[in-house]
Amino acid sequence: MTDFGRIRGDFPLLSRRVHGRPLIYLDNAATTQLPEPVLRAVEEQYRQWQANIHRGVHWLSEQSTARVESVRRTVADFLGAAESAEIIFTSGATESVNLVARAASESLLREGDTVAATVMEHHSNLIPWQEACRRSGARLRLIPLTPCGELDMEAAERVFSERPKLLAVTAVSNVLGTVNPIARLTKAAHDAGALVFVDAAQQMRHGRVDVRKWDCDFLCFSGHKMLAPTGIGVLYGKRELLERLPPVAFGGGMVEEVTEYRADWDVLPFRFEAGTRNIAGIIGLGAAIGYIRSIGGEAVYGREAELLRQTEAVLRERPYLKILGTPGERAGAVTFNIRGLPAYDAARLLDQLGVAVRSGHHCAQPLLRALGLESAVRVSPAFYNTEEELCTLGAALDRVAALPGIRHG
Amino acid sequence: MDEIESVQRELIGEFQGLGDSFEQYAYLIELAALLPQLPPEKKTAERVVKGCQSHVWLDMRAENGVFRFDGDSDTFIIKGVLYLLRRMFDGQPLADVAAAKLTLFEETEIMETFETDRQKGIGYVVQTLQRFAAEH
Repeated sequence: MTDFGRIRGDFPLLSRRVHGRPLIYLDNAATTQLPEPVLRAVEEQYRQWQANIHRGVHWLSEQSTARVESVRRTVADFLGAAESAEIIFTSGATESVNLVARAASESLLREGDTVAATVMEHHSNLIPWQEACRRSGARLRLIPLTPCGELDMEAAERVFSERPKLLAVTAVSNVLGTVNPIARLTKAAHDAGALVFVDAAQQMRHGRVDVRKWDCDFLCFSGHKMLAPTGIGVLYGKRELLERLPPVAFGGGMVEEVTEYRADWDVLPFRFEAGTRNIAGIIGLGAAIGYIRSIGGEAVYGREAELLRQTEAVLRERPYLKILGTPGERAGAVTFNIRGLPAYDAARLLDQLGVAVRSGHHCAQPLLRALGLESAVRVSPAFYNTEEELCTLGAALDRVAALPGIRHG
Repeated sequence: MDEIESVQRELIGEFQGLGDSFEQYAYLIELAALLPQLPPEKKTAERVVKGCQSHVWLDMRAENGVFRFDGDSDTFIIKGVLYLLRRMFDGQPLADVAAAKLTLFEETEIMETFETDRQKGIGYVVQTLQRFAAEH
């Protein structure tokens, strides 16, 4: 059995104190902490291997290139991609979505076409599609939610009947934690003739991603939500589709040949990687995947699910809270409001007690609005959190909710 | 010492007697409940303080050389701050409000309960109040 108490010791930041109290970090849906092996890998990259890649003929450049390409293979294998050429390194999920949306607006989408997305998308998987539609003249159709916070599959059928060119959908809601039926949605979208873009940013620590099983056409995620540094992310795309997309960023490293007035693009994946990539970030991502694998993906996913169940239990015991959504399957996050207390104040008060949670619209304003809210408090544990921390969260909530001046009515 | 400074000293005393930043925040929330409510029809776009992360509305008036103001916010802590500012400025001569030197936030730990964006926002609120007083 995995000793998660020992594993917690791998994360130096978790032993910090804030406001004179032990830090209880429950904002993992935004960013996770880095374990020692990832920190060491990043430092080692700078100390021993720092050189630009793909361009130099010298030893250090070749070594650095080999290390980056090794991570590309690791990511391809981690996602179940057919080949590493289908893995493009980006700065994060946001850049990945923007890349495909921009390229699609210049190639796949025409005036009068439909693009489908959902009300629960993070802004990063919504605004790029709004812009792609604006540029191409396509229409955006959003799949609404059921009252319990799941995608309304009957409404989805109606959207699919408009034969959209593409469906953009998150695997897991960053607000409600709703786990979407990606394989089922992909099948329905494909039957309607649509390509499928999956935002897996919130999925990566909670369950296995297998792009071939899901059969999605594109998928993206960010490293910083799965123990890697910030500023590194991935875009996966099926080779035949990536071949059809034009590059949208231009510069060094993405060309075969350049003459005075034109350029020929390099092969995949390099044609989508203009400029110098975040090399240390890529190395860190490789180390993060290695770390998760060393614990065992299933053990991590199981622990995440267990801690989320306990989080929900802690919150449900407190009648002064209103929890958002009751999806059949939830992962990663539970979001709520303390009745009578604005979310910002609740999160700030919890912070004074050492508990780090997030408040606001969580970059999902259409979703919050659909729920009749402006903001809410989100708790998102990771496998390195403990049951004791969740008990402390409960006690901190009680202390906040009992303050004079708050009327829970 | 004018009345504004006298109230300011009183408030500083109240906050210095409190415990850690949680206690200070909790006290601001108590004070927020005492802030007179701004009627919804007064929460107009013109009354919104620009640059604030929280929504803040200020209804400022000059009445016979005296500064009057009411305010509201979508966060309790800012309402608490508005309560403090109202206690100092409301009903005071316009010239005194414009010239007042605000040391309340420096001499207490109130600002530590805010993150940087809200700290700036409170600065904008104070500027807006004092500019109105100076211009009327």
